[in-house]
Amino acid sequence: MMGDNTRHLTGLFRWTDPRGMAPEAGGLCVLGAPTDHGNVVLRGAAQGPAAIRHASGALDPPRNSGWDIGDIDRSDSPDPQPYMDRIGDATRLVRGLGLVPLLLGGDHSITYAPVSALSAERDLRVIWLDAHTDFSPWSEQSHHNHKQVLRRISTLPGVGGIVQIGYRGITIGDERRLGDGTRVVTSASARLMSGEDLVAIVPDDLPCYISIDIDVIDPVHAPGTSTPVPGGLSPEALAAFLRLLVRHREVVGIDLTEVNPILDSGTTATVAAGLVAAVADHWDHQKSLLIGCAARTRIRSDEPAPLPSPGIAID
Amino acid sequence: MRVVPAIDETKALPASEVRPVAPDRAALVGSIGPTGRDDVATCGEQPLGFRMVLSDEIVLESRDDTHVVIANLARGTRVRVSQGIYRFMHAFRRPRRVDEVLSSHDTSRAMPHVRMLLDKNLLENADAPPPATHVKVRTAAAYRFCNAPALVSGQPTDFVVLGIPYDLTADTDGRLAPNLIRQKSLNYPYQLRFDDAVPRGWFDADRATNILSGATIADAGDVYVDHGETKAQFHERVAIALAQSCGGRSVPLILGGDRSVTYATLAGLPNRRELAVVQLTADTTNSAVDTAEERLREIEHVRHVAILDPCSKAAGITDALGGANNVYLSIDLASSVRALGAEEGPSIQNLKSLITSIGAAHAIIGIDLVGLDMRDQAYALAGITGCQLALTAMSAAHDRGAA
Repeated sequence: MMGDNTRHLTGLFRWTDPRGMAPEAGGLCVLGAPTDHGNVVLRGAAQGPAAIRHASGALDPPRNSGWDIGDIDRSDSPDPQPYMDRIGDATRLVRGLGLVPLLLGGDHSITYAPVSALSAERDLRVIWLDAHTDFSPWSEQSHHNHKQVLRRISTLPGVGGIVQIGYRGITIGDERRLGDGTRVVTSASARLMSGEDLVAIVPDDLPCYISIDIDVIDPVHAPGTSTPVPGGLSPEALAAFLRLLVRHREVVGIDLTEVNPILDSGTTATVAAGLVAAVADHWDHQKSLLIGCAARTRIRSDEPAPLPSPGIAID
Repeated sequence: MRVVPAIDETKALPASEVRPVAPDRAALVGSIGPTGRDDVATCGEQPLGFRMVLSDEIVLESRDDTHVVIANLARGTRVRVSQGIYRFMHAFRRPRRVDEVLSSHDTSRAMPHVRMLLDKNLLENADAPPPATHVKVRTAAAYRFCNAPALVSGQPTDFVVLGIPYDLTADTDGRLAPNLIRQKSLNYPYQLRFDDAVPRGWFDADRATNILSGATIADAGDVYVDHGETKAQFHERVAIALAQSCGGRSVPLILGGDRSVTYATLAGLPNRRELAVVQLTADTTNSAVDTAEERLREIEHVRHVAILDPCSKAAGITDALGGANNVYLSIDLASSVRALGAEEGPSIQNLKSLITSIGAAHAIIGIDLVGLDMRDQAYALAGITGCQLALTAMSAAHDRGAA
């Protein structure tokens, strides 16, 4: 894992690598997944992790510090599934350190890997913040791309529910009903709701995995993404919702995807870093939630999280 | 005799003049040998009395072991023919009659092929007097709007999409805008329902409604822009293209081009019903010739011109249009997208509401998207927004009764 190919990056908000340290349990730990092989529109999201880390340097550090373990290497261009396996192993590595993974994409197809790893450990609910439902059908079972990733995630046995927020624009069909256990809140509706209203539609019976596609934000504020759709949420509204969510719901993992720095001059990466800061600012509330929620949340396995297999390249 | 399919019109790409081949003719098609004197099906037609010659405008687009694809770039026609017909065509590099190339027996049997080649303008009548003006009207586009089918002559549709990549009036780099809008529109594919082959339309999540169910759409390609010609010649070409593609009940969706495209389209509309023009634009300083309100008013059948700011409310629009029933809606994409990003600017929902309000009170008989500047940093967003507004405007035109 920490072989000769380790590259030491400047961490998000200058957070440092937790390996070899003794991190306090429950903290956030950044994992970069610099890949765009699942984006069917444009290359460029692979530069997202670096751009978000760079943009974070210009922001005030959040109130609660976290860790940054680096990027999950894809320089040897493995096929999608082997790279998904690496992300899954890295997720388990972070869990093995007692931390909560915060993935920086990368295109949105990467989300399958952490959700797959985490939902194997405990049942969870996915909060999908995106202009699209990502529920396109797939023609081949082995495909990983950002258009159908939520449909794939919905088949995971440990995913106990999905709340999609931000669906908008014109689509082939009505995507407001994606199946049992799934709730879709269109952007038009969400814009009329307060952060409290939005949190209220997220049941508290399961821990949450939060997946943010930056295109949930209106492209006026975050133009640097491959499939922008007019009519999105404001960064302030989304940040307010995220703050409330981490204060009132147990969160077992987060990702932020589809920032494409090729398409703008840093604006979108700054918005993304600001969203992460909003989460980290209130992350201390997670400790009390962990205590409160543990009794209600069914543990899928008493086994400890498996350690990653040797040879996983994490820069 | 080995009979192989010689013409595959199902492979025809965006074309203005492609007609379905009659089943009996398709069945007769055979492969013509290198000399054109063997393997010819019988049909009993008489040879033509004039000489034929290869069109100057044809190119060979592709070739495999058995077939070639030949296109007439001026007419936007494409045909996949057998190697035998391809070799047969070589005989007409200089003007010749069919019976100078084939025996009398083979000539009559080859006539279906010859007529098809003439129909597609791959061969031309070399003895016909030259036209007073040779007008190249339309060209095929790289993509079709929403991947709708190419326009086929004689098959009317509810909407006809026509690109007019003209940007020489204003300081707008818009000649690639039709291509961009079409490319972005591929995210909204036009599909037919499996059961009854009726267009299924789309779902507008912002308005929580199905749109354009049953509306047929075809793409007529782009008007050819011959850079260096006069504006009058360009206008003439637009008028011919509109007459060719948007006759009858079809509502044109015009993809510009700079804002002067609105004038060119209105002046060239084949059905000169009295109408009012609504220009949805935040650019109130525009004074360029061919885009100004006064210039539009000079067009005979234009009764009113209303310039509508994207921040406008729907109330009062009808008064501004003088009670006109027919409305031509022109959407200035660049300024609309800028307005979306402005402080206190409208939301996309506001724009859609404005457009649907117009459609509820008036018959929208034409739509254009103009002014998209490829030099804008937000040009891709303008293309995507253009698709959304175009489909909304088409819905306002088509779903009026349902609304």
